[in-house]
Amino acid sequence: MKIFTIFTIIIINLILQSTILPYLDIMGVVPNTALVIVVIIALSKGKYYGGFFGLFIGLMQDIIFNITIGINGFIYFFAGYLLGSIEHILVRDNIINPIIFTSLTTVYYNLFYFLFMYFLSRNIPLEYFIYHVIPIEILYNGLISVLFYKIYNRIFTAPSLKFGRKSR
Amino acid sequence: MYFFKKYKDRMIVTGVAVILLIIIGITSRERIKMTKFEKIIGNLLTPVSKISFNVTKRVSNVFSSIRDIGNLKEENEELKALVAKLEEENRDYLNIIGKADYLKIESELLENTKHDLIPAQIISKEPGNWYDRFVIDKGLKDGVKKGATVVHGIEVDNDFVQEGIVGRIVDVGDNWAKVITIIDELNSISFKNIRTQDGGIITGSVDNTLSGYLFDSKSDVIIEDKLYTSGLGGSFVKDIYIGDVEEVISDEEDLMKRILVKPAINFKKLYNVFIISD
Repeated sequence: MKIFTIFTIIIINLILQSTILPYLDIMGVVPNTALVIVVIIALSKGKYYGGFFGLFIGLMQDIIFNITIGINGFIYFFAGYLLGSIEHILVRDNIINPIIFTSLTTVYYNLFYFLFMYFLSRNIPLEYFIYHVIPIEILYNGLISVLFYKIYNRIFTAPSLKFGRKSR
Repeated sequence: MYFFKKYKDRMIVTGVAVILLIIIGITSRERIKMTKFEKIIGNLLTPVSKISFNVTKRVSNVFSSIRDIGNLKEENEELKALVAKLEEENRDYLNIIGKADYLKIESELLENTKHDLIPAQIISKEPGNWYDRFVIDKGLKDGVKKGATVVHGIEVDNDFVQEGIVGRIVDVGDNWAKVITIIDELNSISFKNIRTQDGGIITGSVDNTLSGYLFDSKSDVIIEDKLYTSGLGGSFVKDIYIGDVEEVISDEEDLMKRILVKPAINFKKLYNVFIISD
């Protein structure tokens, strides 16, 4: 059931990311919500879920929009797997975690994308990306990760019975 | 057996990585036809994203107004005064506004054109900041072929409407097709300067500009020269408007003249395109 919910989230995200998000740009930079979702799944469910869903999201994106298939799949797969394998060390329910790891993963994503493009001999201005795109994308993704983390927790925390006064 | 158990995870991860790298290697060149799997996914998602893209067009206006919420109050006062005055004028203009520019351009394009055009709607854009690609709602069933040139109407001077180049089709499904635009880094176009008939090549880049060079370094090129596709190489149809020269950089060392080109099409406000089918 939970897996089904995650699949639904991924499909909805895929559609929204390609239709609504291009209009919500800040200075021409679009947030990468797929990346945020991979980070959050990996941080809460561990390396197997992280790796699998990372691979799934990446391949879906590749198949629908890219000519070269597998680059996003590769990057998201490793992001999900590696973040998932440090899941048990981290303090749970700490809002700082998704922000930090989303920022790191954003840098990692763009770096690896550049590497792949470089080895596929596409010529790309790296300076432009380092100065104009990546800083804004880090901020934007970090902000969005907080939002997604809250929504994710609301969906996946089982409702508990409460008696008497509300207590934390 | 013990070895397998101990390193099971690592072996799976390495296996997946190797498979992905192989797929990247195979697909990094342009493929001849799409795999079955791709077609199925594309066919399933196209109607859904078509609906949501249409809804988005309306919603996006709301979002863009949320951004400047800061100076809303002052603006409100000013605008109220204006509204009364404008409302009256508005009625007179409504007739004219009804014939929206872009509908006019589209219909004029269909009258003027020498080619067979298939109208299509953009249904989704590629997420991410790296490339400029989109998916349209016409495919093999409507006669769209791989490699066909995608155009849109633009007004050149004297109110004459003609085709402006948007990009070309790289993949076709049953009811959808992937388009890469000319500002994408993958596309190189061979152009000619309409004034002097000199040729050259321009390429897109990630920062949404077109740049290129002329074959002949001594050729005469000035700002606001109009560039058309030359049809050399056969990947684009001949004589389609690309844009104006924005800047000329002469590079003595390279023995060539580099130019920056302003594309004629506004790629941020593109909702409908035409595909040349002959």
